[in-house]
Amino acid sequence: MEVRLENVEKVFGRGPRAVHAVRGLNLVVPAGEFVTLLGPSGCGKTTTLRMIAGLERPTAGRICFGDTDVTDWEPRDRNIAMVFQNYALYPHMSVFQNLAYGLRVRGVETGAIRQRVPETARVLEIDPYLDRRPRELSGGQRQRVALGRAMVRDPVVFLMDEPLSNLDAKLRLTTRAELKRLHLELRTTTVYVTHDQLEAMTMSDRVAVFQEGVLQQYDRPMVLYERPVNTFVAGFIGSPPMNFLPAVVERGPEGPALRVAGVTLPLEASSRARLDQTPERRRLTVGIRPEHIRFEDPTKEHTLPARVFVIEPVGAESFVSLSVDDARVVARVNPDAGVGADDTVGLRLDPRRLHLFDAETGIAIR
Amino acid sequence: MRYQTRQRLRLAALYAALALVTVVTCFPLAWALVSSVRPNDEMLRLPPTLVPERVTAEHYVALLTGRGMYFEAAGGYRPKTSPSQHFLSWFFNSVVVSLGTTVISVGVSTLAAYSFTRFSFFGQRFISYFSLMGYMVPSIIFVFPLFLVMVPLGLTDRLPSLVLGYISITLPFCMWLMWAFFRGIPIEVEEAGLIDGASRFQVFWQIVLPLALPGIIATSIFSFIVSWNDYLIARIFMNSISQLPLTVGVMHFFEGVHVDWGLMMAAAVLMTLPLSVLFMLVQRYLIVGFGAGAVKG
Amino acid sequence: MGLPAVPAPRRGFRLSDRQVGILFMLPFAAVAAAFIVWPVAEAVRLAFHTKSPFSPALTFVGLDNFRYVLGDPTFWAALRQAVIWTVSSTLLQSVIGVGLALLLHQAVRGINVFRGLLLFPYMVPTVVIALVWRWMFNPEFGIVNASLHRLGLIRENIYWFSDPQWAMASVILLNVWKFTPFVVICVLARLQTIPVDLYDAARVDGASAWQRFRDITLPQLKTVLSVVVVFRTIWTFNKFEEIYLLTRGGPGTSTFNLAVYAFEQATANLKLGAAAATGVIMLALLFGGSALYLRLIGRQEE
Repeated sequence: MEVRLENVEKVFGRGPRAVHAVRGLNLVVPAGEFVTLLGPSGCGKTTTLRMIAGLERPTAGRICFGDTDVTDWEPRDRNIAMVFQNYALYPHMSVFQNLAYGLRVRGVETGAIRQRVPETARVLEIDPYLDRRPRELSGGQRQRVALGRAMVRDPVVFLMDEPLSNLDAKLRLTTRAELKRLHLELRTTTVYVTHDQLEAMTMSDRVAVFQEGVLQQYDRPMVLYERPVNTFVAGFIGSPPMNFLPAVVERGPEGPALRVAGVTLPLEASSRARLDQTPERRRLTVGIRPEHIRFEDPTKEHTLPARVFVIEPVGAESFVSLSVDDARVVARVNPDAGVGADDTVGLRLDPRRLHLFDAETGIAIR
Repeated sequence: MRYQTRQRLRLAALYAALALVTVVTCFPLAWALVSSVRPNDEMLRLPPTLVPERVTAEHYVALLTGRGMYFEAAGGYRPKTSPSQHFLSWFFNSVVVSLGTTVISVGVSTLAAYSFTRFSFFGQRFISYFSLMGYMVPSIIFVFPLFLVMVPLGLTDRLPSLVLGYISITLPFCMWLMWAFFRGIPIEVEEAGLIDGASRFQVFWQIVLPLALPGIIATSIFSFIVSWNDYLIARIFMNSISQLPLTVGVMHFFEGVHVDWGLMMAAAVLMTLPLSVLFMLVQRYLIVGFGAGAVKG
Repeated sequence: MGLPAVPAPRRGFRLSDRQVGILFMLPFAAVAAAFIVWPVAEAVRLAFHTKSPFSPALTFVGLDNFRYVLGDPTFWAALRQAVIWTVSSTLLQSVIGVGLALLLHQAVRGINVFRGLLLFPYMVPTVVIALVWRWMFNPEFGIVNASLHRLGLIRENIYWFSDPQWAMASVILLNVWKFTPFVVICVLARLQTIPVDLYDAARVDGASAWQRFRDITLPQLKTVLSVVVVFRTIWTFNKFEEIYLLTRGGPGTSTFNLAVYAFEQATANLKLGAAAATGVIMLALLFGGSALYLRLIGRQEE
């Protein structure tokens, strides 16, 4: 079931203190896909999810499931299921009753309920707990019950509001993989909200990045990673985040080049093509991901002089923080890179991996 | 002085002070209990003794079976019936009226408090201020207008009038308590219910009410206690001796020149007994409510 | 498993959320209007009328009731006594209450038992405690006089209920017994939210127990105390049962307060209008007190 949002707006309050939670949103969730709404808190992703659920009414715009306009429909008519951040299990009902509630309320007969509930419970490995109350279960178990409650109803859309944020780190990893596996098997259209870019990258077919109520970019995870549309998306996806350095366009004998921290960086063909029309001395922000920085002898040509600030060994690699002029840059290197604090190194930025953004608007230069 | 000794002295002084407080707090009722099991001649002996020599149940028997007592009043008026005869009716009246008021006040407050915490609409603050005002206004102001209304309705001297009258003193606090309880129920559980397919009514009935049950019970007990304790409203509304609730009835023991203290103390004990039981159940909630900065009383 | 379709919305009678909200409010609004709002408004209206005891008719008399009440020396005596009774009770309750709260705050074990016990006087019907008080303070046979004799504090019996001074004292004592626990609970709750670190820092800095009380505890208690005092004052001033059931306002009228005065006007003198006028005056004083409370709260929040 495809989910379509057309020109959706949501405003809370009135007058000068009104909050524009969502502005001019156009989004299509293709049927059967797992789409994540990603962004920092207050960016409008949860509000959007709640509008799809019917818990909030859009101030303007339409929401459609397939060909049907459901904008004015109550949640109970939309045949959706939702997993809440705090699970929202019914405390006074057993696990079985929690799972059965949605079926019971829709008039499914007892026989069918008695069959479907244990089946779903078995898939999620919570069948030993069917008679227990939520308060007797661990966090991970409660989360599965919340998931089971959503699954047992066989809805057209799954909505998930940061379901992993209350789990401890280890459980989060395993549950993430299981959720993805579940989606591959069930193929139900899923809309997932999180502020954790790792969850978004690992689980989704597509990711929608929001900032302050406005959709920034909506595409497959790798596209967001390799071709971010502005500095916000570039800095949000990937950990450690992309490094940004101020740069100035230079016109040299081989065409346009960049001057960063007093060093001229040569560009490769496609970047040069992009800067073809750019005037000299135009200011840009250049972005480079930590994994695309190499250490060189600082005397070598086209290397940025940098001073090591701190080294953080992670095991398989090390994160090295360096100062370039006034800016802080992080590089991912092998653990045996052989640098120490306060050393001076030369940074080689892979020219094929340079991201160019306008210095004022932050928009990528294409 | 060594630290240890000083600490022990402090602790001893502390517990002594606490014991004193406990004694002062409990003494009146303990004394009523002691007096209620003494025979009359021992009670009126001088000087009074703390520990009874003989213990008797005669006062309780008198109350529960309605034995007559010698009863003389100034002005040559001798009543035909003695008050102790009516004790059981008074008890019954108090129970019935308190239950009636509680059902109405708590029922109405529960619905309204749910509405307040879940929906926002015009006039909400207005209504909440009214609740607060209603709680602070002393019942002497309500009593006379309500009585004047009861007259044409033909309800004076009948128990339903008390049920209605007591609403003025129980409703505001019931509303305030239920409001606090509903605010403590997370709204997500209801949203889950709505998404699962339940209607608002179903969500209220099947999900919210079971969760609010402890709050409802606590509020009901409180409302019961307040109704049980009222004197003024019953005094104005009721006349016939058999229709009185316990509070007004028991004061009748006082109308004469000779007072049967034993009977009165026994009545006092019996009157407080059901309250003590109910109170033990609910005191936890009241302490939390008072302590949480909601300074009412 | 194919993708299920979205069903059409159910037909039939269904209330929107907003309608359910209003529906749930209606019974309360109706009952509150009938039993709270209307009687108060009506009481104010009655203040401007007289009612003959023999007919239901009301005659408009303008400000006559107020003139009568304000010209009655008993009213002024009642007002003065009400002030004495309120100030003494509230003062005693506050001082003793704070002291007890401090005491309880120290006690580690069994504190919950004490807390539960403390609220008990608040729950006891006023009738019961008034009767017990009359028995305990009975001049000849009561345990109070007997104990005072035994301790050598008095030589002749105190006539608790027939001497105006002592009657006022006995009424004040009853009020203190009944409501001090309430002060204790509120102050105790506040005490338990004061972070212990403050006291530790003060002890390291060298402050004595008294200094710690004066400079840490008292400032923290200021707000809760002011609120408690205002509330207790408003409530005590308007109390009817505690006084009437113990002394009937007597001997004579020496323990009258405004509520008892109004009651007597209505039931003994059958002057319903005068009683209502007194009620209006009480309401005016009540509003004044509430305004004061709101201003205190406002200042607290700054």
